Amino acid sequence: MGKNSKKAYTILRRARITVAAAVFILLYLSLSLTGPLYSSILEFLTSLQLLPSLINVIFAGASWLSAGFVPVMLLTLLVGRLYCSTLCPLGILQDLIIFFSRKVKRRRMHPLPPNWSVHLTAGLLPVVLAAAGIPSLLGLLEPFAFWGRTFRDFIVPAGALASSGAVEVFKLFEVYLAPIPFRGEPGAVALTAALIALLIFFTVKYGRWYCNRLCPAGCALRIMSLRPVWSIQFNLEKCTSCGICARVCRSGCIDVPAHKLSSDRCVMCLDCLEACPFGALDVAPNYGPGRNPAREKVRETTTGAPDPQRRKAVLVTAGALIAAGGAGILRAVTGGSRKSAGDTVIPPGSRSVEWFTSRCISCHTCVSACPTHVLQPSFFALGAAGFLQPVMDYRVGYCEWECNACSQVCPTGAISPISIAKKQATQLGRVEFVEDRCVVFTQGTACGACGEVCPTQAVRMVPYLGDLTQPLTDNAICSGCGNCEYACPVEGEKAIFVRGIPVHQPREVRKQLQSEPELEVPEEFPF
Amino acid sequence: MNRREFLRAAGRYGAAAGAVSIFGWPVKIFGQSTAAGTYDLAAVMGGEPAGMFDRGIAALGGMGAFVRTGQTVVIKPNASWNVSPERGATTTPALVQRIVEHCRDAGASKIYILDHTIDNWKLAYATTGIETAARNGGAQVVPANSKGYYQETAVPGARSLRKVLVHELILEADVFINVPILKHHGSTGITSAMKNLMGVIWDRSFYHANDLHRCIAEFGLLRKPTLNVVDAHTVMMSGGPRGSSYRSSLSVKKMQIISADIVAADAAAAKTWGAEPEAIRYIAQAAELRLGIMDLDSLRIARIRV
Repeated sequence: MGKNSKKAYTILRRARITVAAAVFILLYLSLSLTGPLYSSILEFLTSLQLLPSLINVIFAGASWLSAGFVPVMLLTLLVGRLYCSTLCPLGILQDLIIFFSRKVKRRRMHPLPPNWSVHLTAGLLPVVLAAAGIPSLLGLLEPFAFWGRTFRDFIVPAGALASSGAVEVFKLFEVYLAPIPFRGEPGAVALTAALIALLIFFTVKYGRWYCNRLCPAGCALRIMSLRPVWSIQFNLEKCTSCGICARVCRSGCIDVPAHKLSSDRCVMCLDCLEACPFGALDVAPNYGPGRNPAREKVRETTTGAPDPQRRKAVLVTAGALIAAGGAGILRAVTGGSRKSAGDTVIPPGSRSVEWFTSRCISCHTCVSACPTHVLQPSFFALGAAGFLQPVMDYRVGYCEWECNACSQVCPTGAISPISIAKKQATQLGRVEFVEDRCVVFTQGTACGACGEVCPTQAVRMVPYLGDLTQPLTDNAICSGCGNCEYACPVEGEKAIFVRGIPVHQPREVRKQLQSEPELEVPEEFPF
Repeated sequence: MNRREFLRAAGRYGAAAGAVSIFGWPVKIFGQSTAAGTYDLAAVMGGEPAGMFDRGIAALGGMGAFVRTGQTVVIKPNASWNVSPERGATTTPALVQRIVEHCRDAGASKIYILDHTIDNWKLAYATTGIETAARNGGAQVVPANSKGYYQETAVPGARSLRKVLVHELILEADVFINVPILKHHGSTGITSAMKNLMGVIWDRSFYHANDLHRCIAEFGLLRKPTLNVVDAHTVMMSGGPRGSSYRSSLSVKKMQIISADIVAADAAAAKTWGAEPEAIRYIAQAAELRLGIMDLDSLRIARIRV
C-alpha cells in the first residue's frame, strides 16, 4: 500500500481523536449542566457503556432501545476495541494523560508482557461477584464508574474552587453569579484522588495498562477481539523492524521481532498506522479471500509452539463462567444477599435495598446530578458489599419534592426511572420525632423548622403551650424526603429524622381539604 | 482596609450609632419622614397586586420618595419554595415586576432581586415566576445560595442574634425593599415582613435554635428595609408557610400593605390575617425594641379602595 493509504490512516486517526474529544466534552457538559438536551445526550452516551447498559437491560429490565452493549459488541467483533479509544471516558482520560505526559517529556512507555490470567481474574471476578449480587468490586474497577467518580470527586470540586474565585472577580463588576456547588464526603474524595493518582502513575509508565490488566470491560472486549473481522496487521514485505510502531503503541500490543500485533490488547488508537514510515502496517481482514498473505507466514512461524498464556486463559475463563453460573443460581435461590440496610435511606426509584445494592456500580452519576446534594457516597452504610454506593444523607441535603434527576441518569437501572408524580406517592422511609431533643421542649422557644419544610404535612405544628407549637408526625403520609431532618437545628443527634425502609412502598395520598381559594375580600379595613 | 473589613466596621459602628444609616445616605435616615410626610402606611384593597401597588405607593409620595436617581436597590421577595405562585406561598410575580418598574422609573442605577431560598434556588426562582418577572422589569436576579456572598456582621444591642451572616447586597445597596407575602406560619403564627428577612441571612438554623421570635425581631437592629410591601392578595390561612394540597387553605383578600415602618406593616398584616399584633411574639418584641410602631391607631393610614 502506498501514500494514499497512509493519508487515509492519518484521517482515520484524526477521526478517532475527534470522536473521542466529542464524547469526552459532551459527557462532561451533560454531567455538569441540566436541561432536556443535556439529559438526552447523557442518556445516549451512558447507554453506549458496555457493562452499565448490559446490567440495565439484562438485570434491571430496561428497554432494548438502551442496549448499547449490542452495537458495541458487534463493533468489537468487526474491528476490535474501538470502544476503548472513542467511547470509554476512562480510556479517553488515559489518552489525555498520555498526550500530556508525552508533551512534558518524550518518554518511552514500558509495556508489560501480556498476562491473560491476571486480566481474566481481575476482569471476571468482579463480574462473578456482581452476578451474585455484590457489584462493589465491579463498581470499583468498571471504567465508567471510575470516570463518574473522577468527575464527581475531582473535576467538580476543582470547578467549584475555580468558580468561587471567578465569582469574586465578577462581583467587582457588579455581576453576581452562582459558584458551582460542591458538598460532600471528604473520604470519598480522598479515595478517588488516590485511585486517580495510581491511574496516572500506571498510565504514564505503562500506557493503557489499566485497560489490559484490571478493566472488566476491557477484559470482555479482549475476548471478543481475539480475531476481529478486520485488524491492524504487519506487511512483512515492507517492514524493516525499525520498531517505531512499538514505541508509539500505548497498549504494548506490538511484538516487532515476531511481527505480531495482538488485536485483543490493541485499543485501536491507530497511532502506529500513522507513525510507520514504510507503510508496513495495514488494516486488513482476518477472514475471506482478502486476507493478508504476509500474515500467513507469521502464523506458520508461530504455530509450532503453543502459547501457555492462552491455555491458562481458557482455563480461567471456563472457571469464571462456571463460577458466574453458580453465583447466579445461588442468587436465584437465596434471593440476593442484602434485604435490609438498617436505617439507611436509598434514593427514590431504587425500589428496595436488595434491588438497589445488587445493581449499583457506584458510578456516582446520580450524585453529580442531584441538585440538593442529598445523594452522597457511602462507605459501609449498606454493608461492606455496598461499598461506595450512594445513599440519602439528610444531614447534607433533602430530597427535592419536584425532582427525579437521579432516576433519570442512572445508567444501570439501580435507580429505575420514576415519574415525579409516582415519586411523590412513594415512601422512602418513615419519620421519627424525639421530644427530648426538640428545641420547643428543651428551650421552650418556638422553632417549627421541620413543620415549615414538610411537603406532605406528615410533620405539622400543633398547639403545645400558649402560642408555642410542637411537631406532630403522621407516618401514613410521610414520603421520607428528609426535609424535616435536614432543617432540624438541633446539634448532634437531630430531634426529627427519617428511618429508611427496606422496600419502598406507596404512601397514603390524602384528598385535598380545600381545592379552590375562598373569596373573602373584607368589607371594611381590618385596622 | 479591604472592602470586607470596611463593610464589617461600617456595619458595627454605623448600626451602633442607632438610627444613623450604615452608609450615611440620607434616604435611609429620613426614609420614614420623607414619605410625602402625610401617611405612615398605605393599605389598599380590592384590586390586583400590581395595580394596588400603583395606588398605594402614590399615596406615600411615589417611589421617588424612597429611590433617588443613581441609587442601587435590592428587592427581597419571598421566592423560597419550589411551588407555583397560585399556591400562595410566594410573592406574586406581577407585583415584584411592578416594583422593579417603579424603581427604574425613579432612576435606580441597579436593581437586584435575591432570596436565600429554602428549596433549591434555581428551581424556586424559576417556578415561582419571580426570576422572569424581575428580568422583565429590568432587575438583575442574584443568587443567594453560596456562603461567599454573606458577611458576618455584629447586631448592636441584640440578646440572641449577636452576630449574623448577611447577604452583602443587603448591606451595600442604597435602598432595600422588602416584598413578603402574608401567610400562616406553623410556629410563628404568621409570616410577613420581618419573618421574610430570614431570606437575607445565611444560617436559618441559628434562628430556630436560639429563640426564633427574638432573632426575627432583633434583625431589625441591624438593617431595616427602606420600604415594606406586604402582598396580601391571596393569603394562606393554614398549613403554612410552605402549604400543601392537603391541610392548607387560601383566602383571597385582595389586600396590600405598604409602609417604611416594618413593625407597622407586620401589625397591619397580622390584623389582615386575623391575629392581634401583640399575640405574634416577634411583632411585640420588635415594638419593644423600638424598631417601629405596633399601635396602628397612632399611625396615619391611607386606606385606599381600588
